[in-house]
Amino acid sequence: MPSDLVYVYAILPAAVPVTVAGIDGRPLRFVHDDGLAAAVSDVPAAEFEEEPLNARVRDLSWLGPRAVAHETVNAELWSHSPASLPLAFGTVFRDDAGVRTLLQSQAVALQRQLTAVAGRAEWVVALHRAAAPSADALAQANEALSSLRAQIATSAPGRAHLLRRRLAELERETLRRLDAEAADALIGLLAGVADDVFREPLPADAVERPLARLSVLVAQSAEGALQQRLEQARTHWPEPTYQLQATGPWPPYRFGGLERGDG
Amino acid sequence: MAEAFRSVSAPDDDELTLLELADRLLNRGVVLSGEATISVAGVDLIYLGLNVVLTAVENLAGSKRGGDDAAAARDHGG
Repeated sequence: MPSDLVYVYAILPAAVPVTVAGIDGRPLRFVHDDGLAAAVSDVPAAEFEEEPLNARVRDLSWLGPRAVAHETVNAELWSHSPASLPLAFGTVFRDDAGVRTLLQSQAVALQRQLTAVAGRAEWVVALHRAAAPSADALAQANEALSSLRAQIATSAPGRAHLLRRRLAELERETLRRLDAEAADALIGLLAGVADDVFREPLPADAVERPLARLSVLVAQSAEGALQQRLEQARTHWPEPTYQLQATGPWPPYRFGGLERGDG
Repeated sequence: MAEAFRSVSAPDDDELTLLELADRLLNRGVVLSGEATISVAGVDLIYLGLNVVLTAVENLAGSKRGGDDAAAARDHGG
């Protein structure tokens, strides 16, 4: 069994000069085939075989420096190349021949993706509800809440108790509707300046769930317009009820990358 | 290209966290290898860890390069 595997950072139309090193400081090199170039470095099999990789990737002290190296390489490739497809962390091949097979077998799809992301960056925008809106704000959103409150005030204790439960339920419904509307409005706002918007699926067991998490593909020339839209969204949904977070520009990890190997 | 990785959220939130980085890098879940599929799916840290404050990436990278160098490297080709 070989002691090294080949780690792929990204796929480019052609090699570009790079000054950074790969994971563990090992040198970057390029594997060519079919008019494409894969940026790779060698990694120890003892850490990057499937089993140890899956064990180690949960350990943030192991993952941290390697994820940083992955991103450092990709940021450099992205800024030096007209287009790049950054791959997910942990894309590992037995040898260069395996990388060449990938380039050959997916050449058409990879070329198409390179065209789609050329000159574009990825932004991650998350919408959170940081606090429950006030009773007044909810009442404004749903008139039925006010009339229900008035009814409770004039009802006998037993009936008032039942109505209060109905009120709580109606408040939750209204809140869910407001949340959904805020997310939809944000998506609409960003779609106007983006080439693509992808709503990220959220794990069901998340501790802290944003209302929406979006990957947004934006032409570098449209970055100013994106910032304006984000500012507009912030004004529209004043904190602390809704909060907007954005990071970027990222190399296009979401919109680039490999097709999922489901088959 | 403008400055790399500036956050446009709250001012005290302008450092990219390892978690955000891991989220971007791992979110494809499944990757290909020569013969077998290497899976990094089932990595639950992305949201489960959001309540944990993690070290900023520039700190992690500090031993290899300074934050300014990192920004300069990215601005280079911009």
